[in-house]
Amino acid sequence: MTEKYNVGEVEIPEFQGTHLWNRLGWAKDNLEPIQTEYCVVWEDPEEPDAPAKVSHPDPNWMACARHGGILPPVESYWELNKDEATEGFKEHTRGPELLHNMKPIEAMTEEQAIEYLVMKDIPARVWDTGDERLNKPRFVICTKAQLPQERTWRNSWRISEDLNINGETK
Amino acid sequence: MAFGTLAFDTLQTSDSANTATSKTLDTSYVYNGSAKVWINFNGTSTIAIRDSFNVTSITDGGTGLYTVTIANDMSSDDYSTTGAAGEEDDSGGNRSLGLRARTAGSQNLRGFRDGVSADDMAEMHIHIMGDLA
Repeated sequence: MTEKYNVGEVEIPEFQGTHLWNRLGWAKDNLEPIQTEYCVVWEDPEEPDAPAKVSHPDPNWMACARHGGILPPVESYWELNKDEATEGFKEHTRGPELLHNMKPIEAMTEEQAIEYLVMKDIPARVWDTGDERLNKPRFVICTKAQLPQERTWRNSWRISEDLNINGETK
Repeated sequence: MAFGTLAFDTLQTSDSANTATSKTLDTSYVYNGSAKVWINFNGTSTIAIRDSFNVTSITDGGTGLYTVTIANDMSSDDYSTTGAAGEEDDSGGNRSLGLRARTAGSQNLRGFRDGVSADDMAEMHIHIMGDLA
């Protein structure tokens, strides 16, 4: 079995111009997965009756984020999403430009990686409201230990109205 | 750490041990036939990824509801997803996996118990075949 490396133990090859999928393959072979304790609880304003959703980062992806030099900037995904939302879209044609030839982003802290994940995997209508006056936050970054451990009543999970700005749920 | 590269377009065998008839296979055939995304996760309690490839995150959307988000998007939403849902042991009845909404960068899933009611599944496995963006 190949030895896998923790953050700071290996120099990431120059990957700009290498297909992202191949970079992810290299990372899976060489980087120790990082299981974060953080997750993101969010509510979609377009589904007001739906239960709160909880997103968990992938450990292999988190390793890529923490090491740096592998992932494209999050704006690349926004551009892909825009392309896909265009009327008449058939298939992506800007993958090379946006994912594979784009300069990879530098290493991120765990907090920065979670913020990147929020902006990549959660709809912008949840985190980019542009309205500070909202009565209730639509997402919160918290630890897994803060989630209800019992799945009974799962569909009644909600972000607490008493949430404070430090992300501590009551 | 070694970084080896073997570049070739075609695999060829004389197949002397069996039919003695030469066979060839384009490398692109192997690439196109590889799973571009795969994941094995526990969908119960605090859901957790056991192992995966080309995944950014999983989202617990409610009882039996999950979203797998992809790191290297597929070229469109015309890819093929296969998978299975189940338990960690031999107990219980039938389990099944339903495919729901998808985009080039994500696939929604639903686990079912006995073909009727949505439920959280201890074993959720999928892989995705198709073209990458």
